[in-house]
Amino acid sequence: MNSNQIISGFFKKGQDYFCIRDNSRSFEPCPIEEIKNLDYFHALEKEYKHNATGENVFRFNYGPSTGGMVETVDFKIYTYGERILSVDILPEFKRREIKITHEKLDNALLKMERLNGFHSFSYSTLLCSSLERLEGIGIPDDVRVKRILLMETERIISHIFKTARLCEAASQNIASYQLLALREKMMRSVAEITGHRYMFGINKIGGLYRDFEPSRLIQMVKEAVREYSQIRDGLYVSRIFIDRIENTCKISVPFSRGPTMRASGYAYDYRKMDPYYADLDFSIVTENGSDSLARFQVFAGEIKTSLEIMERAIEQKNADDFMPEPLENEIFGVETPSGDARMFLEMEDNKISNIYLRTPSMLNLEAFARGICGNVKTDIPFAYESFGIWISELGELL
Amino acid sequence: MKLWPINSLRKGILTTKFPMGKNETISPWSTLPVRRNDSEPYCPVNAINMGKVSLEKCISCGRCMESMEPSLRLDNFEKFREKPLLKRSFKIFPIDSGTCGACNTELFSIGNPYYDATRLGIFFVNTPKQADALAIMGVYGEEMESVIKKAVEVMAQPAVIILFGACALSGGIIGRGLRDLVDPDLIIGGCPPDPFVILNALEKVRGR
Ligand code: SF4
Ligand code: SF4
Repeated sequence: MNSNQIISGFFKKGQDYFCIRDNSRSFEPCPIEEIKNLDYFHALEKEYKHNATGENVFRFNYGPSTGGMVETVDFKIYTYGERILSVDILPEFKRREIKITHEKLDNALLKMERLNGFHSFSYSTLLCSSLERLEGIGIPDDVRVKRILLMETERIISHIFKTARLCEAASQNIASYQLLALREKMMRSVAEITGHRYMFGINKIGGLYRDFEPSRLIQMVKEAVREYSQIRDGLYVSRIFIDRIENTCKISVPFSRGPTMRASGYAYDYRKMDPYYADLDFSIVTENGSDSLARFQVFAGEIKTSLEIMERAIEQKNADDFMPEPLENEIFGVETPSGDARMFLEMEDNKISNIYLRTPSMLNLEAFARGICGNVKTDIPFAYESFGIWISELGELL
Repeated sequence: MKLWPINSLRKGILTTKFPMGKNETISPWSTLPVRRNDSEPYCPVNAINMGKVSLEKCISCGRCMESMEPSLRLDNFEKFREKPLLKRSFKIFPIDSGTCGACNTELFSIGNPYYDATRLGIFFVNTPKQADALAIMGVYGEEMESVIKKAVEVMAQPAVIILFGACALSGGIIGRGLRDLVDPDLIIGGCPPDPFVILNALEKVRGR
């Protein structure tokens, strides 16, 4: 399936509107009418359009601060019993405003890695690589390779966490604990190798603040992937697990992002367009089920692919500096573990003067709201997390 | 399904003996930095004063690494409550006021098999009504003010109020902290706090 007509983000520059389309690395002018017609950004604009009416239909509140959810988020569920007819998701309770413009660039970087701490290295790499490109700063290829290694490690850790949450929901407690233990083991190694469990403080514009030994990281990831594969094989033959997640939160919309999108057959992965990954051949993992089972299958496939990418990146390291040609009207991007984040940047006096960032959660929020209809309320926490949604990354960058 | 128990047995006991034994690891830069030489340290959030690092301000970034190094200590917390809690269990309700997500997942980490906080009687609960402690994390957000106040109100007294992570303590590098909103019994520093520091701090505030 193809998604290249999809507008996955838009922003205003001067008096004009511009949009970002999938499969393009440049932004393009866009008539305001076309943007107004997009119906998947409503929650971000505080327009809640999922209310349902009918005999015996009532509204049930789940959130904003409730056990079972990792972050603060409010669900307004329309139901006449257990089954969800419709849901509005209100993310604004924890809406953070993060000042990036006219800040010292290094402080902007520290803030960017705290936009989503769980995927911090992807976001810090997005900002570093964009600024390097805009300012014409070349980096040693060793830095490019090490950034890839950490981004792929972050993806694996994120996918393991989401799988653990799926297991918990399917009462596979032993598998869930084994996966959480595996994640912890990886976090400890990451801390030992890089100095921080969440990889904070490593990236630097033009390089890395803290260097590390790649072979230790790869060895650790190899062992983790081997251990993960054993758990995955056990889950594949568990009828209880498969029955619980099959057909749960089924959704196939081309505006969804990352594993959610690829689990419904869309072969779109920003790494295929990212100059960082240009020489690294890998297959995009897709599935066709569009449900939580398909998303689990994509996580499992991508964990394997990430390790292959890491090994290939080390083998194919170049002696020359890495400095891709800048494009006209370039929209920068990164494939975070939840999907592609795209960013527009303008500079003035060596500071960021204008920034727009479209994160995957901005689109997956609406995909989830549509997918969860017809499911039961107890499906919400784990189905939600299988979309890789982080409310933190809906914060506003000023 | 015989596979799971066999796999678990193969892995052996993962759980730490802490606090009876020593912590096996620590996230270096989540601990408070200490001097490594006399050079003037740089800190993006002015957390260093006369060579001493403020646990409320430090964002664990390591930018001071030319002059400072991680202490690797577990004392990145302060308690303001002297009376021990005489309960055998300690139930925590987490509230996310405006986090990046890492404080949340790090707090939940103490439930994983490596830490197994339940062996110490520490549990997470789904509502503040059942909780002995509130762990509030993230920066101040207008919409969350009433949610936090309401949670404090409905808790059975004496309740322990915990401010968790640099954002909640000082705003970190992101925004405004929560010190003027609630009066904490315990503050835990770090961006995010390391799970061993969290366990240590929780045990100390219980008076154990
Ligand atoms: S780790 Fe960062 S915030 Fe903490 S003292 Fe050093 S420079 Fe300052
Ligand atoms: S203190 Fe650090 S880890 Fe915790 S929410 Fe703030 S930025 Fe994230």
